[in-house]
Amino acid sequence: MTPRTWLLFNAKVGSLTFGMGAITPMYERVLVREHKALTPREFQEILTVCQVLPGPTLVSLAMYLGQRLFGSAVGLLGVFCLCCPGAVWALLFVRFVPLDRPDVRAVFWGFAIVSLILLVDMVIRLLPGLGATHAAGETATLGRLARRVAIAIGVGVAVLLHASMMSVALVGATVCLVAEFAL
Amino acid sequence: MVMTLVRLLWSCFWISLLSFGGIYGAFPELQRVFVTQYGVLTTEQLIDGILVAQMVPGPGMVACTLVGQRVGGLPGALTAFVGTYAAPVLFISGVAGLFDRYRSLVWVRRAEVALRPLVVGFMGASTVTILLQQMHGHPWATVVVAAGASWLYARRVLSPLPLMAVAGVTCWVIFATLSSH
Repeated sequence: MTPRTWLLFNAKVGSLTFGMGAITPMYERVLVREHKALTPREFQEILTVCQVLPGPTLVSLAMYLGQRLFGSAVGLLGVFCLCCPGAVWALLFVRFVPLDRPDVRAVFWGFAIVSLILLVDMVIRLLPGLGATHAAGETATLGRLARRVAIAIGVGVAVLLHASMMSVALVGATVCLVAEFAL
Repeated sequence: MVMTLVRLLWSCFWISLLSFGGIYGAFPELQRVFVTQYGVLTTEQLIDGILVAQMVPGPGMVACTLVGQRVGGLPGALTAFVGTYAAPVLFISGVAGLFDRYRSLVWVRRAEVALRPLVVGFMGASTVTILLQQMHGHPWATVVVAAGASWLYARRVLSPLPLMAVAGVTCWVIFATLSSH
């Protein structure tokens, strides 16, 4: 794979592919199976890092992969190629679709219901991760699991009460780390 | 105008940096800053932006570009675009190298697992907020459409995009029926 094919690939993904669930497997297919630029394990590790670190996972993933394969400049251009088409599409959409009309709002009501279902599905798929430990295949003790669930609920309630996300993230991260390492 | 754009740039920069996972992780803070604090958007407009972002290709964080467009027109959209994507690019450039070097250490892997409740909490809060928003108006219709869509999704009858189309048409029909009475 060359920098040019990497940039073209990102532009293609950014123009034609919807959602992280669809985009991530495309990266895996092209980099691991087609070009063999990464091993499956390397790809999995990079994906995990991008999911764990703050920031939008997909953008972090594109930057990380581009930087690792071709350096920072190509990584940055890859992110631009990935993000620009969607932004142009979205601006055209809001320019030409009358979002304030009641019948258009009714259609959006349906869209919102489905996005809620997708979100619930994602949260459900994240839940088993609360019962994991750093060792593969090992599960956390009941006490540790209860602490993690309590922290997750506390974070959720704080956010719903409009606490600033920076405060919640800082306090939440501290509590998470204390609960893991000190208790 | 310049101050608005600077504030927009900074807001999008750190909201993006604090969003775990993507746009839904960023939703509570977008709501707090642009709806509650600055009052430049309604929650409904913000959800519209997120929905549009799901209907166009590419990362869902494009919703921030739409927020910028609402706040400051095309210059606002460009500012929000730069602010939103500069954050993860700078952060991952700095941290990924370190993470690469130390990721095999046990305490790093333990820290990764330990921080998971944070992600679940943020996502859970977004779910509740959108749920409460959708229960305004016709809650019974929301429940019925949600139940049907959940069944179709769980049975893998439809993938997300066609499912959105079906739910959108269904809600439009419900709206037209209720309006005609």
